[in-house]
Amino acid sequence: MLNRINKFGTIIAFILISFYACDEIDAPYRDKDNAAAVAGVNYIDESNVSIDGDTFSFPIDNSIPPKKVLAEDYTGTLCGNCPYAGEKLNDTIKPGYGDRLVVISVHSGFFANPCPAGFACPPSRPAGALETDFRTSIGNDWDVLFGNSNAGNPNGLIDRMDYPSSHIKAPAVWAAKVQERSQLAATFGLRILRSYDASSKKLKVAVQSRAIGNQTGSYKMQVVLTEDSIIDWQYWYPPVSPAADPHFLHRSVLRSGVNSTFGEEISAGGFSNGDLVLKGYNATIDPSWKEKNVRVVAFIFNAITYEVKQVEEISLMP
Amino acid sequence: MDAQYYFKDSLIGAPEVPQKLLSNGFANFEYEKGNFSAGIRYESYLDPILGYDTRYQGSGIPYRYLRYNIGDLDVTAGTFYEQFGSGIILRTYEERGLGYDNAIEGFRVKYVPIRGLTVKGLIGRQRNFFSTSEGLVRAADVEWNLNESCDSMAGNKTQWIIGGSFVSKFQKDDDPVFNLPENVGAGAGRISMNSEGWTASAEYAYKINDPSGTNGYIFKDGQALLFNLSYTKKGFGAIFGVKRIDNMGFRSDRDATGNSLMINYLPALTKNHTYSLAALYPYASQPNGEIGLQLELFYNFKPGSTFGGEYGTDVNINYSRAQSIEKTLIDTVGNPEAIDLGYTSGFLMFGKEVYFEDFNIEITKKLSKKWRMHLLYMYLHYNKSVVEGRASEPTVYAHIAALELGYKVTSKKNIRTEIQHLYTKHDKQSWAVLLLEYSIAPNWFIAGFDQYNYGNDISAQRIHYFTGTLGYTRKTNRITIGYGRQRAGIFCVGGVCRNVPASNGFLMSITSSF
Repeated sequence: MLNRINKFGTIIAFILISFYACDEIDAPYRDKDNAAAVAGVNYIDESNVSIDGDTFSFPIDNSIPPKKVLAEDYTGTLCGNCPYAGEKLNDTIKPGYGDRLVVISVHSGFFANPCPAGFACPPSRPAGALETDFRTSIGNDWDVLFGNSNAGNPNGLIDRMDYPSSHIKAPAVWAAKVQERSQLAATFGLRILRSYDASSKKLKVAVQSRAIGNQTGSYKMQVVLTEDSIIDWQYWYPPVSPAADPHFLHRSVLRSGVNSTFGEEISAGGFSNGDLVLKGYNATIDPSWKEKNVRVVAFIFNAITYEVKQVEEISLMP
Repeated sequence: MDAQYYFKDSLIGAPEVPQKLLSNGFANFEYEKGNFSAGIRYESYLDPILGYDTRYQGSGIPYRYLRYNIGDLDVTAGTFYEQFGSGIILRTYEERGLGYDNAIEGFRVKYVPIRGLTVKGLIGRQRNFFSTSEGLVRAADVEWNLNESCDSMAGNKTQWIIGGSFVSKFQKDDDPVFNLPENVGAGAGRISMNSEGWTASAEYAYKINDPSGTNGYIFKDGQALLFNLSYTKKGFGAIFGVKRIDNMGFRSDRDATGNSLMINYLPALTKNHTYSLAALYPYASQPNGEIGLQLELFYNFKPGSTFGGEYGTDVNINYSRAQSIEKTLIDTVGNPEAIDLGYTSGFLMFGKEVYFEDFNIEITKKLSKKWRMHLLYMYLHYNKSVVEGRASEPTVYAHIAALELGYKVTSKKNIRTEIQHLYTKHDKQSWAVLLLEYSIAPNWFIAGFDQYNYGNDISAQRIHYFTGTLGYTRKTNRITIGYGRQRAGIFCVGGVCRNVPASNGFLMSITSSF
């Protein structure tokens, strides 16, 4: 009888211990500090910053800029339906907006895992085809948060609106959502200055934001690098044939983050009209990238809703 | 062992397979002596047949166990399958057709302290192809059969069973943004009653915040309710089931997708059809939220009655439906961080979006000593975007009919045919199927099967998917060889699905038990 009670007691104790194995999380749900001090960056005032000895100065500008729109195309080289969506975004929608529409192609998820290891790698492919890996750690982290590849490529985010319930937008609605966002009044101005030394591959970037009207809430700034017009393999589903295309034009491919994965905080409590925030960074350009096609993209977003308030883009080379 | 030899078939999108031949194979070895038992399963995917996850590639012994039973105590060390209640917080099982195996490797203890009371505890990591998951699973379950325990209830016609379970998983938080819970727990309570033809069972489950790739990293809790009621007597049966699922995806790796590392099982509550066109658009359970119900009636018209005729007639009517739950986004005015809680949902509030609806009638009748017949009519509403998780896919409304006839040539020789038709204006439009099968019991069968997408709007896609199969069975050995085309689609068992790519080639299957 004692043995029976011991065995029963052991199992009951196990059950009780299991009940304590629960971590109920209360707000704040996101308080990890991703901002890091950038070596060589010294802030002089809200309009002047020294980066590795070079001073970047923003002249006073109180003009009201247009609201620019950020379109993120979540894609993959092995996603046969994705090039149709990418071409629609870059060749049909973007020409109507010019520099008021900034595109980032984020290669991530199942269909971005290249050959030969990628699970979606077609058994039949020319030697060496579809082996370029366009994935980035920042793009992978974005994809995990927003769930784009999990929802089935191709899809995208338009100004990251409607997070977290319906932020993933099908290509069919991209045009309408871009138009909707482009008609909003700008709540921030955003300017980028940069210098680039081709011999050392060193990039220096200064980004200044300006609140237009009083803005409540907390905001973050994200700076990334993209490379446009990369000619490389892409897989197509019918009717395009052959399915593996060696000359596909990959547009605005996300290459790396300049600051942290989900940006850095520029305000925890909001802004008054005209408030300025200045940020400086330095980065190194990968030798394999074509410098003339590399662009610096900066955007401001609500730290809680991720909604992009303003975006700006500038070429690496003047 | 299954092996397939592939040919490229551009018309149906079947790719060229460099290896030409792919195979999936397994062998189970079990040993038992007295209270001790042990077993291993050798698995080999060289390379995995198209449609199976390529992470299976290779060979190994992912399933191995030692088990000892001493009367009221049962201990397993190694790999094991387990289910608590209906499985809504824990069910590990293997479904070979899906390439699904979420077995746990670790320790399990079952104990019966008093008659009718069973207590289980387990700890381990789930199988992840040929490795195990990063997350750790701890679980316990208690089930009490009141009639077995209480002498005063032993003779009752009404039988009662109650139970409760708890599952906790641990996974380290290394997320760059969120403060994620490293220990996530889920609990469930259940009750079932059985009395003179009536059976009723209910189970409710609750899961604490579990941000994951499946739910968009929201910190909302999860709930699930299952209720089943059935009544049977000779010649009549009725089954009613209802479920509500809200944010109940539960995996031992919060970033896992597809069919990987699911701890729990959420039943589809829809009918599993056997006719190929009726199974063309199967339903997959939606862990982020759904309300579903199913009603099934069965009646046997006796021989000699108006509808029964000389040999009697069986009629089966089934209706199932699944739709969204109401979701109200959290009001973030003055509390912006609440956006990470996602939404609220009234417990019995229906959403407006229909995911799946299936109404079908089946009639089975023996027409004469030689002939038998099976008829099916089915109406289907299939929300392809939701069920298959693909944006901008059409919703399919379809009418399906099938006629199956069997003719007994002699006592050992039979001919069977199926004529099926699916009518729809959506997706790939209408299909027709013809099957002919000739069997010589107990050893041989030969069958030809053609699935024809005759209604496709694109004339070049009006394709015949023909398959021919020859099978031989002797004692416990069965060999099947075949050749044909496989259309691309999804294949589901019990609400869990996998994608099936198009293929063209030979298939050989060998099954042997000794």
